[in-house]
Amino acid sequence: MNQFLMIMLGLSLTMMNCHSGDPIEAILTDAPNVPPPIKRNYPAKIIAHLEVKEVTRPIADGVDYTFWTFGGHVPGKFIRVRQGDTVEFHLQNHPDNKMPHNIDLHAVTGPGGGATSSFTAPGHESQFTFKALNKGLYIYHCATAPVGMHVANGMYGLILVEPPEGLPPVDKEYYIVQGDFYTVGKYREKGLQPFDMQKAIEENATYVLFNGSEGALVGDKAIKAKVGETVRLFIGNGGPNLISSFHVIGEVFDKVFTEGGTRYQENVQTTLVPAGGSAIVEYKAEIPGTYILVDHSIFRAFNKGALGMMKVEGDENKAMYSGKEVDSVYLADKAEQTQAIAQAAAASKKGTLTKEMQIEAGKNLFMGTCSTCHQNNGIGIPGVFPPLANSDIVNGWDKQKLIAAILNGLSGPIKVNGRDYNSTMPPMSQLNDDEVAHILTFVLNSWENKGGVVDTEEVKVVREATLRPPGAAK
Amino acid sequence: MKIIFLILIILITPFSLSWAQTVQGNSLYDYQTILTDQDGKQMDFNVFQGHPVVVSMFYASCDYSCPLFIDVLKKMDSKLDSKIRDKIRILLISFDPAHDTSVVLYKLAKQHHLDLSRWKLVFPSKNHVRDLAALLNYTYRPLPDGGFNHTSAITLLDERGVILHSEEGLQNAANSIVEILKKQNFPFMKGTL
Amino acid sequence: MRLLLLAAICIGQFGLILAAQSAEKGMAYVVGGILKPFYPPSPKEREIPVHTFWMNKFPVTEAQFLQFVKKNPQWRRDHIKRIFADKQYLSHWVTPISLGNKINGEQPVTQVSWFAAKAYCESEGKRLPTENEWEYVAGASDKKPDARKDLEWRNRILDWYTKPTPSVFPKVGQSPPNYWGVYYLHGLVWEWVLDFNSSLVSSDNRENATSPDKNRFCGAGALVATEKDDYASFMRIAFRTSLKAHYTTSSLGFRCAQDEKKS
Ligand code: HEC
Ligand SMILES: [Cu+2]
Repeated sequence: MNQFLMIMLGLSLTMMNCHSGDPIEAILTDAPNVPPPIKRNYPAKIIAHLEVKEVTRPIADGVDYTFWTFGGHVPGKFIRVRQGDTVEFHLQNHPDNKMPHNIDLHAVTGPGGGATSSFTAPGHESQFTFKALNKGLYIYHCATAPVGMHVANGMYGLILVEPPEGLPPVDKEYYIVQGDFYTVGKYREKGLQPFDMQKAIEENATYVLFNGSEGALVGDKAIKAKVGETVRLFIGNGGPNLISSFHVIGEVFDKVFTEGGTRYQENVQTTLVPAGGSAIVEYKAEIPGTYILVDHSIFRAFNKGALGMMKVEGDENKAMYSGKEVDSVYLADKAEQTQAIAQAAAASKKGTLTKEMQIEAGKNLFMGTCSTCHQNNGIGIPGVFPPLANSDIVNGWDKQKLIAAILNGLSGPIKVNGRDYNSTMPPMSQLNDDEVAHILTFVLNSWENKGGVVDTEEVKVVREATLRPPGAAK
Repeated sequence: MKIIFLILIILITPFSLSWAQTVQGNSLYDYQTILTDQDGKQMDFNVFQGHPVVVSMFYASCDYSCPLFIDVLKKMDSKLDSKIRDKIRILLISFDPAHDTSVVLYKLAKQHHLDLSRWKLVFPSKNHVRDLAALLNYTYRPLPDGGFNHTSAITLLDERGVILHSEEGLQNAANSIVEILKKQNFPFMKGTL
Repeated sequence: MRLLLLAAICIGQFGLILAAQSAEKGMAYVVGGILKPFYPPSPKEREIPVHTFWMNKFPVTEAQFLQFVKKNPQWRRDHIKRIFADKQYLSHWVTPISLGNKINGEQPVTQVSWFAAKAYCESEGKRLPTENEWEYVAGASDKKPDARKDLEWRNRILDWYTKPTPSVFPKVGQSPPNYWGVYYLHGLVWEWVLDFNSSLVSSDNRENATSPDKNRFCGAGALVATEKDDYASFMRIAFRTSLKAHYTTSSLGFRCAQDEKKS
């Protein structure tokens, strides 16, 4: 009887559409990948399985964090459906998880966006069905108490509801979500860092990241395009707190579907992505090189990690652009950087560390850590940041004093090469002993300084013998 | 016009809240307990075994939703095809054995003109209230003033006591159960019972 | 007020003596008092009296639960009725009646349903603690009976909630006991309480900011958290409301309690 009805229903659908209502398992992807465009010209029943996993993984070099994720990564899996589709959603909460979770899809019109019917204990599964009524790009997130904490731990992602006619074809599509993170330790302080509720309440982010980790979109993992290709970015902002001023240095967006909505704006330099909101950005890659993606609230980019890269390959087009290398201006190439540092670390363990390796690693660490103030070439900024190049302090102080200056910071009046400075250098004790040794070895052997080697043991001794100012990493 | 159409769509395809909960191959009657009905008669939980049973929990002194609750169930009952209705049994279990004595339950049944050949109002032993609530997925809590705070739900059991459907929210649950009973293939419908 | 306090101390000391007597039973004597619940279930219940009672010092261990299952075969994973426990019930044991060598008997038992936990306690003439009792004891630090306003203590607890379940649990009772002599209410496993299904908090936390869903609940109550920053309490409530009585999870165990007079 039941079956008969089903068959009748199926038949009538078939006759209407020439397509049976066979359910389709949704293709879900991890960022920065996007599921393929939908080629269907009829609404279908989509089945989506999404598994919540609590995982510990790197948030930055040498820093681990316990993320709560929709599918194992931050952001959660990208979901792509067509307007009018009926989505049968299965939310699974992995048995090893400690927390109950649910999902609130902003694309869903209904109580709590699905949150009430998807509340799931560890080791269990909930199922609910909704109809994708409105086209657009929507955030989904966990809404389990305390909501802020579940979101702060990475529980968000994007769902795209394509219009029936589909989106205009492009060459490349990518998926990027910004989020802010709050750890007990300072930015880049090593080790497993617990979530800091107080900082989250104060909206004092330790990290602001694209795709959940500092290295997610740099080096080998940069998103790629060829000259002449059109690129579409699905941008989301999970929050929990901060609004993103999304910008690609050296690009003007041809089109921006602001807030993930229906209409677009043209020729946009920076677009706001609200917490719990989205934007679709399109542009043509015209000049080869490395482009930097930032939250243009710029301290977040350089001091909290909100930085990604897009590599455009192809022939230079000198008529449009003279060909300046973007990398060196903004930061050292992350991939090379980590490689040199990893090499030095491995050699140090084996006892085969050479001065040259230290200098190479130290150079890469210097860029990004010290160069923001002392400049890439070590000449500083007169009156503000003293020079390290040919500095009478670098060449005059003993190693212990230099080590202490990096670990504990430096403030008050100081005369460098005859010029007075009276400012503050923050403690950089988040660097480990190896890293401090490499940086100082690099500084001592650069820019006409006196040379020499600082080894890990020496840094260790100073770290143990001196006190860090309050608030600094141990 | 467009707007009306949209509203229609929304109404027709409501966000489906019922996650049809079927405890696979398992009967609630595996839980053994003694119930006392409005006539003071004692019986096993499986008193209606062999019939599809609509089960719900309540307490008689509730002046907020109990009158409403019985009305909703009566309306649900009246919407059923008479052939099905004859087979259906309705079991209302009290959270409040301390106050809901047989006398109280009998009064309530009379007040609402319930057909006591198919309806039973019962109270369990004090120690078994929470187990029953747990089995039927109720959330409930005794209040200091003697009342209860509880979720309202209706559960449909098949002839063996397996949950066919369980849903929170009275009106929605009643509607779903009417729909399910229309479609469900009970053995008695095939004449095998 | 001061008199009351004194009385409490006296009773407390008397309790200590009793506690010593019942030490072999592995239970701690908890002197009753007032619990100010995190989520007052109704405006009239901002202060809830908790009677003096006994509570197991430790969560029930794997070895203890194995003994119970051997004596009461209806609770074996291969005999249990599905209405009383889901498929993962005791699934981490190698066989229905042996732990296997990966599990240390002194670890807390997990993957047990509410029905099974309740039956275990009843087999010992005990019961599960109520949510109020559990929270009352769990509010104590090692020094104070009510440390819930102590930020540092709070953060330490919160820490556990943010770490994933370890693949191997530590043995019970390796950290210092709290004020009542009870070990590991925080930091080891979640624990069943008798009335886990009593919290009329919607699973969508945001709904509770306004009013409970009138369609779902009979009888209104002002469900507004008193201490918005007590996040550990938030998480315990969220966890409990996600459960059904037959559920088991890899981080959920239990301990037993007993009324005062029975001792
Ligand atoms: C936030 C800006 C900033 C950063 C980053 C920074 N410094 Fe400095 N540094 C200063 C300032 C300002 C002073 C002068 C302090 C004073 O006035 O007492 C200084 C002084 C010094 C001095 C002593 C004076 C001199 O010019 O020789 C050394 C050596 C030094 N820094 C090394 C480093 C190294 C190595 C790093 C990277 C690990 C670093 N600094 C990162 C701002 C910074
Ligand atoms: Cu969550």
